[in-house]
Amino acid sequence: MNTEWPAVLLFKTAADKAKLEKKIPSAYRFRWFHAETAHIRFWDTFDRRLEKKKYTLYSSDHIFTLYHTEDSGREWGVSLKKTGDTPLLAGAFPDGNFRRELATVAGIRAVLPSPEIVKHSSAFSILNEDQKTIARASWMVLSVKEADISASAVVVQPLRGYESETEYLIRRLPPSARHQSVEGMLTSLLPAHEPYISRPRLEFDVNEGMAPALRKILIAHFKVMRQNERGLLGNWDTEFLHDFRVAGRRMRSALSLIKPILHPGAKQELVLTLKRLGRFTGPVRDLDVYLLARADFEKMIPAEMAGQGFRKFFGRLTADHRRKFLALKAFLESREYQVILNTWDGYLKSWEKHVINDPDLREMAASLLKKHFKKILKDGGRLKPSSPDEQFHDLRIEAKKLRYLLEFFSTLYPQDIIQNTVRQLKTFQDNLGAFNDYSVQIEMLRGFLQSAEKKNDQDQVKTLSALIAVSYQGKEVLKKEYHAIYKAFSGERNRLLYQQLFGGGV
Amino acid sequence: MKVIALYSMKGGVGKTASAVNVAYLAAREGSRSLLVDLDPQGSSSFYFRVRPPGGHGTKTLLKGGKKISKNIRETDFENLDILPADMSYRNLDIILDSAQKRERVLQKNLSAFKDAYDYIFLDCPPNITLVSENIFHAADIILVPFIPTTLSWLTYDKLLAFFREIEMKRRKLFPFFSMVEKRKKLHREMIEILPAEKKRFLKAMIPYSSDVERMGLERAPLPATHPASPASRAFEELWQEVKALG
Repeated sequence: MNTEWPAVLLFKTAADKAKLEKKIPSAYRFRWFHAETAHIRFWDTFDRRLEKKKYTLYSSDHIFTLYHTEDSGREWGVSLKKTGDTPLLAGAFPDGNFRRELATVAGIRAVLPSPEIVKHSSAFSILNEDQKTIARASWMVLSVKEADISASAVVVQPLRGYESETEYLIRRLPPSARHQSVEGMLTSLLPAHEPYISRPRLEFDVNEGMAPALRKILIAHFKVMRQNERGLLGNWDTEFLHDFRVAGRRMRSALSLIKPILHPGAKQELVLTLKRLGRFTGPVRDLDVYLLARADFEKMIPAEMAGQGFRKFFGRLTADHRRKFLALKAFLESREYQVILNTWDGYLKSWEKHVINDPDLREMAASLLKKHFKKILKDGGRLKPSSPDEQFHDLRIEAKKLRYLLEFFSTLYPQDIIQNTVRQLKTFQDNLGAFNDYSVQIEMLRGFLQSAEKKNDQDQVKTLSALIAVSYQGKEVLKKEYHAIYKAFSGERNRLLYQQLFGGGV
Repeated sequence: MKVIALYSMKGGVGKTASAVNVAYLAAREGSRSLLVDLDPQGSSSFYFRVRPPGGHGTKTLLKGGKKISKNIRETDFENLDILPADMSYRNLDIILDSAQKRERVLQKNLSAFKDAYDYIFLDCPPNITLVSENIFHAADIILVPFIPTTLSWLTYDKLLAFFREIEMKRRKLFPFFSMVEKRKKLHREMIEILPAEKKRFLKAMIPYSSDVERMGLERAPLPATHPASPASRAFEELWQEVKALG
């Protein structure tokens, strides 16, 4: 006997409530109560963060409920006046526990709605021959218009002590699938999600050469780009652009690092399309980063330097972001972008025609890792606190190349080694990355400062000068810290780790 | 968890009606309540349309814990469960006689529910036996319905004597007037004299009411079907007073 209650039964073929009642022995009867209609949607981020962390978020009309699927005590509810099918950031909900919890789980990602499920339900009781209620139940007619699905279901909760009697009645109902929860039953009606992984982990056929492997890398990342297009165009959250952009950069790196594989003409054409895309995505992403870090910026400078000037400055950033985003959007909707997509499609389909070289996969992967690791050790060892900023930037690019290579070929190596190398590299990159962020930031702030000076806007001049000073200090601190971080990265332990990847000495 | 017994050596004094209605009122306020029907006649089970489950009976009640738990039935009213009566309770005394610590078996078994319920109400059979002794031990409060007549007075004195004999605290006993007919002179006189004599009488008085008699037809607690009835209001007063006893 099933002991899971309530019984949530989704009928295999459409049933109706009159027939349902006829299936029950005559000693029993149904007492019908109120009927109601609810419009239900389930919500999750594009990369399904809620599901991964075992949370469910659904809305029934204007009430949102968030709960942890394995801890019944953790449930939060909130009502939102305007609801529809627009993606929502945690900040769209009223301040409180619900919002805090959602922000922790979803982070900066928006939650996107599932297709709408319309649920007509009628509550009823099942009475025995003494007119004693033995179970409370709900009859449901469900439809998902967008997916052209309709179904019927019943949820039965026996009163204590009447479980086996209820089970006996349930067995007489039309064939059904029994679900663990109403939410689980409802989500089973929804179309399956296309899986999304921003950094695809690729399995290669080692008997094949590097040429098909490169194609595989490009196809996977091209797919990631395309998966992010819709959310990017809709400006749902900033991560769509981020993932779109990173996928493009990784494709560009794959093309330029793994060579010679393609005919130079083909390679050139593909790299150029990605460069062109980067011209539009780069500026928007930079502004996204600043806008997201508004609170951090505000904390960076003393209160008397912030205030009016700070608000004006962020107002300009927001306006600038809007302008650049619209340019990016126009580009993605342009004929030119279509041509770029077609170009990629064409090359990926007729790949073999453009291949001029197909070296051994393992050998080439190993030699690429070795080459770039060595280059970082060599260039990185030369840097001093007095070295020009450009040399730090170049090293950052080198580290990024090595990171991409490690990730592209990760499945060729034992996972623990890959994880260790990536972890080490990440610490190294974090220092260089933060350094670069400060440099780019100072550059941007200087531009704004110049224009504020021209306008003689003293509020902004004050704020921007303070921000530049603080950023400069931050950059210098990182430069000083660099030496210790390099020492750890170039240490014996890390070298041995890399040797396990490509063999031989370093 | 508080255990409240509705007890009288006499039958037909409004014990079951009080147990059913007071248990319902406690549950209606949101307290998790269990009504244990110890009377083999099973009147309180009948009022809630619950039949005794097959196989359950004396032995189950003595085994306690999970075995009892299995026989508990949810009534149609929120927060109110019932452990239905069983005819085999007739044999309860004989079995208790052979049990160890025989006068505390019920107390021990009910203690298993201390987290599940806020109140346990015991609807007791009308006699003084080992079962009664078990009830006296298990209960924190013993409510004694008292029809204002001399016969009731004598019976109540007998109960007090029994308590003395078994060295049970009489503090637990709370009589209250039941089935009161103010038009009867005797009732009026008794109500005047008795509380002065025995200081523990509760203030609430349950009037004699045809509504209470109809409970058997409607098979539901009176405040659920006739909330405005004077008897319903009297039961509410009774419950508020009992609750305040702490």
